[in-house]
Amino acid sequence: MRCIILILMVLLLSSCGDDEPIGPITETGISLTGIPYSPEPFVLEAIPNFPLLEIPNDNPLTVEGVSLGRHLFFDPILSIDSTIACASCHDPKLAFTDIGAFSEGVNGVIGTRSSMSLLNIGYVYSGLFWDGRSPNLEEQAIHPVENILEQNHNWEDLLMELRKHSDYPEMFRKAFGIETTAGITQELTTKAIAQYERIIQSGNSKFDQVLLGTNVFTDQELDGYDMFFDRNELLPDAECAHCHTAPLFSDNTFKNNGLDSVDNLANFIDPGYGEVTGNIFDNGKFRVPTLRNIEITAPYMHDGRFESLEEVLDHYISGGQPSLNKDQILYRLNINEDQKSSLLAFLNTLTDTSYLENELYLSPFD
Amino acid sequence: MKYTTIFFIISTIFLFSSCGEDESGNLNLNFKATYGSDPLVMFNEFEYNNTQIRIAQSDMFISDITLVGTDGEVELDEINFIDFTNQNIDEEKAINGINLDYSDVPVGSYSQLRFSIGVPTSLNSQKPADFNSENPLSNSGHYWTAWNSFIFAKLQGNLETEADGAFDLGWFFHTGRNDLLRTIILPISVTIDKDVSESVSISFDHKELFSVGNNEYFDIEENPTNHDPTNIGPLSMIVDNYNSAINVE
Repeated sequence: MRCIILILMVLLLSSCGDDEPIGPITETGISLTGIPYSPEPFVLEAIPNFPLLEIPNDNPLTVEGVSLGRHLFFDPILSIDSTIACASCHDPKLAFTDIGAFSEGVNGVIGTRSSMSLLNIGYVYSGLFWDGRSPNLEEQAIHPVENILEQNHNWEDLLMELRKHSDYPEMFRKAFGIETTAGITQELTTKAIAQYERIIQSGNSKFDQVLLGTNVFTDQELDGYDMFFDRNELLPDAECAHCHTAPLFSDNTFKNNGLDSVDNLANFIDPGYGEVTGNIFDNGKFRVPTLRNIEITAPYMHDGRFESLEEVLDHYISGGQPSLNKDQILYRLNINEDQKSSLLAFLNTLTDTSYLENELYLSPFD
Repeated sequence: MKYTTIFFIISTIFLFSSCGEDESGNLNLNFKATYGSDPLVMFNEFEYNNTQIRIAQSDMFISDITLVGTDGEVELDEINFIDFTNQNIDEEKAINGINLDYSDVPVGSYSQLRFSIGVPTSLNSQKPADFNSENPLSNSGHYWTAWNSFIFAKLQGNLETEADGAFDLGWFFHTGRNDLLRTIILPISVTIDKDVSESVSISFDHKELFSVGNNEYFDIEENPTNHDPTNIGPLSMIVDNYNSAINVE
């Protein structure tokens, strides 16, 4: 009789497992082992003339991981009141930036710096953020969640919400093979977001097409290109390509580009990179941002002080404001209005919105 | 007989294991940036042509680092990058200098240290995108598209032009192109013994880079920048001065 009861119980439990992938509650959360775990490698197409994208060995791209990361990226659940998603400040239609000089966090709190474009962010292997305080995408993704000026959440509560969510436990299982909901951790959450961010790529601008021989510059764009890269002795050197180097249009360094004049390097209102390195000569320096899609990422600079590219060019042509560590590359340039227009025309050739045709770059919730 | 066999086996193991080990030691190359006889501290003020100068950036690729000895040559490194800008932020760090450490240097006596400032022609035909992020040549900020060349060395700073403490003239010289690659040969007397570490200290006098001879120095105010491929005079001066500016201490 006992044997019959035992067999019936085993059958009952095993049949429950077949019909319902979310298993019984255990001491370490709800079992997820009934959900198959067979991650499929995510194949990211190489972009011509770009460096090879390097993926960390401990966080390879998978279809399931990218999908989870995409959901997390667009889901306001990451904020304390479920109002602010990563995508709130990194809107795909704006080259993964936002329209404000400073980004808006929960309860309308305004941040202190402008949102950076995430296009091609996977190629940045160190010094993320305007001030370079984060060593990689995985570590970077920790901070906006708990920043009081951004999502103002705390990881402990967020993980509880994710573990109780109707969809995320299954997605984490499929992406990372966790056995119970307790396996949903900060590490895996940020890994998924990082996987998604690595696939955010743009390399199909007119500039790229010209390099590949499938398009041609207008005369005006060509003049701008020549000045940008100092390729024509008959045109002035705009000195842009010292820092905005192709193909990513950033050399991944930190510069003082002469935005503010200070008598003492300790007097920068926002010390930027210097606050991270502890080296006073780095005060007032900020990450050189990419110029890809610069046409649609206004306003400009770390504090969004310039509303148009014309203002940006005027700043650089002026040579910028003096301070001890202003980069020597900045000096008063002899560039006239026509030449400025040529530079603008060239900068506009860096626009590429073709990535928006890829549904992975859009919200899964729309 | 049994003990004889065991002894033979153990002896054979020792013999082969010792044959497999190359005898080698370690070598440290210590690079110190100076301005004349003073440690070069970034943004410090130094005398220059009866005015004052500040140096804000100095870095360079160093390549084909080779020891020349009685038994031949040993290449220590194909390419490396020396960044005084981020090292020389105070006097102590400037005095400490930048260390390149090499292990597995074959034992022997070496009489020359040879290296080039810049990127060898074979590598200079490539671009930063061709290298992984661990390789110093992946640095796109040290590539100049107009020259189809890596920037071999960057030297930047400010000059006080009117004795008013303003340092209002920014200057920068970026060398590059195959014809500006220079090879330095330094006499040394180093013996590498097994498992022993030796060090060679190399000084790099930045004032000397601007020497035009007879204790006179280049007129930076007249020509504060240069990357015009048709006028590389100042750049040639700088790279030709490496021989007198770089010495073993």
